[in-house]
Amino acid sequence: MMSSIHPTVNLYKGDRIQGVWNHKQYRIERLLGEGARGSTYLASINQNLVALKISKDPAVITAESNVLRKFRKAQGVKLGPSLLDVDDGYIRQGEKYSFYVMEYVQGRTLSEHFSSIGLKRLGQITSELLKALHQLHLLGFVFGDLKPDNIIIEQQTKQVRLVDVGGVTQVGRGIREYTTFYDRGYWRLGSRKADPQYDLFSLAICMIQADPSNRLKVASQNRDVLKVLAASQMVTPFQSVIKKALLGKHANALAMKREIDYATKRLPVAAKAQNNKSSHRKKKGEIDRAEVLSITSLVGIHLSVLYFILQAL
Amino acid sequence: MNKGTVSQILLITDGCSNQGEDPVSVSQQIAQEGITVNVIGVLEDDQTEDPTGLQEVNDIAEAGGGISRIVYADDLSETVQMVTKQAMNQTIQGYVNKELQQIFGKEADEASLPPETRGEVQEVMEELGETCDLKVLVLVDTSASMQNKMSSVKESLDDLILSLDARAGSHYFSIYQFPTRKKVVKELLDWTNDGNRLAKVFPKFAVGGITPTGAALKEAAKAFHISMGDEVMRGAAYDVVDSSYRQSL
Repeated sequence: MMSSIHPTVNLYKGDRIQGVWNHKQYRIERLLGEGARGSTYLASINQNLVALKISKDPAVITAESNVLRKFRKAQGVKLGPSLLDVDDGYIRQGEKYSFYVMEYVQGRTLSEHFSSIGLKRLGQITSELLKALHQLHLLGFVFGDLKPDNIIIEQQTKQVRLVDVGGVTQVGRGIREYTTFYDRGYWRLGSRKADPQYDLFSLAICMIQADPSNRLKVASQNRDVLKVLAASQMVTPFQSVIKKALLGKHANALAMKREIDYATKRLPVAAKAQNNKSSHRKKKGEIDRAEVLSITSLVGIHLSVLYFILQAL
Repeated sequence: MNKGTVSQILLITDGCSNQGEDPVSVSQQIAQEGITVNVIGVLEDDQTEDPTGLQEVNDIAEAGGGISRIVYADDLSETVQMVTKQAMNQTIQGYVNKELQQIFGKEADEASLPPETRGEVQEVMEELGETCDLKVLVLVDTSASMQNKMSSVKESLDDLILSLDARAGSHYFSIYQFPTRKKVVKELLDWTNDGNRLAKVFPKFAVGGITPTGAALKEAAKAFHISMGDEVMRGAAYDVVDSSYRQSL
């Protein structure tokens, strides 16, 4: 049967694909990403860069473009890449495949950012994501496949964007697509039914993944993610809010956002600088991250005391 | 089966059948009754991803109108729920395309519609996929070489049930093993939607030597014809003894 074949359509730089319905022609530049449901290529049309998703399974293209079309109606927050075109096209005069074209979100994924961001930035990113997720939830959808690879920090604007809508599911239905480690069902902390808390769970795992100790893989043996959280020292300031998310105890995305914002505000002032320092030191193996954190926060407290004394004078 | 129910057999095996009927032709017969046959081939850790011995896995699924995947035991969980879901969607797609052909003529299918209309058809199909009833009969190869993979099989079925529970439509699953000491195929768990019963079933798994895949498929498929709650008929289904079974040993 068709489905035994991998959905990947191999295209190469310079390949052209023209839609049979809307007649737009795209030139393939390079591969952006490949998944179980198809491939995304960077393409150009009239000197503009776009992202083109193509799959041997037309249902994938139809389903995802449907979702993007619905997101268009969302006001204010950009929920996914904007949808530009949906069409079928012949590849090198051979087979006909379905594809859709969307805005190219240029930037690095959150997983590529992990090594360089501090706690404060992590808090900001999480907060921004929660704002977007809340909008999505109000529309009656759950993102589903939330993971660092699907979160892009835009190069120009530094805005946080969600890409890959393959997992987007109507509230109340079974999650369409998920990734094992980010799936609430896998960790046996709840069902695979789409509710806002499903996304909050995945987001909590994303935060744990920011911790350089990266213990999730080991923990998969006994499926105890709470133990992993306790051992992830870097994210300690967010521990209680993450734990609540893992246990599904946030009423909604906004409630979690409030707690994230509060915890971010209470971080030591120089959180970002410390982090850079610790990664420099780490190479020499002299001081570990936790030590740097405590030392600099002490310095921070002293400085702020000094500041108040000076003001009083 | 009525139109509201999608019926599937999921065969989990690690090798070729070596006794009895040809599983490919049996699979074809089962498909004609409206039951899809999906097959997952489980690899040994040291096997390459395209072993010649598992070609039969693809052939059985193709004849049965279903989906096949060949994976390592570690990837079973992901695969079992995905194959079940994809095969269900494929069945619905086939059904919807047939309806479209009745409206638009012989050549019409979903792909011949303009993208916007296709989007609407897709939504109808998703709705059906979410709400239809689903019956999955899991047929597990318990021949000797499967022994060290049983915990992965159990885990993957737990995971499947988690995904089935998330659907709006109702579902029933049933578990059969083959071979056993005296029979070609044995019912381990009768049609149920209670995932907790799975745990009690698995320790019962005994592991035998030969692999009569074709005969096992044929007997297991009979379970779809037994109306639930029909005690007398049910008794007949799981005590199937193949008369040729002992002689050929």
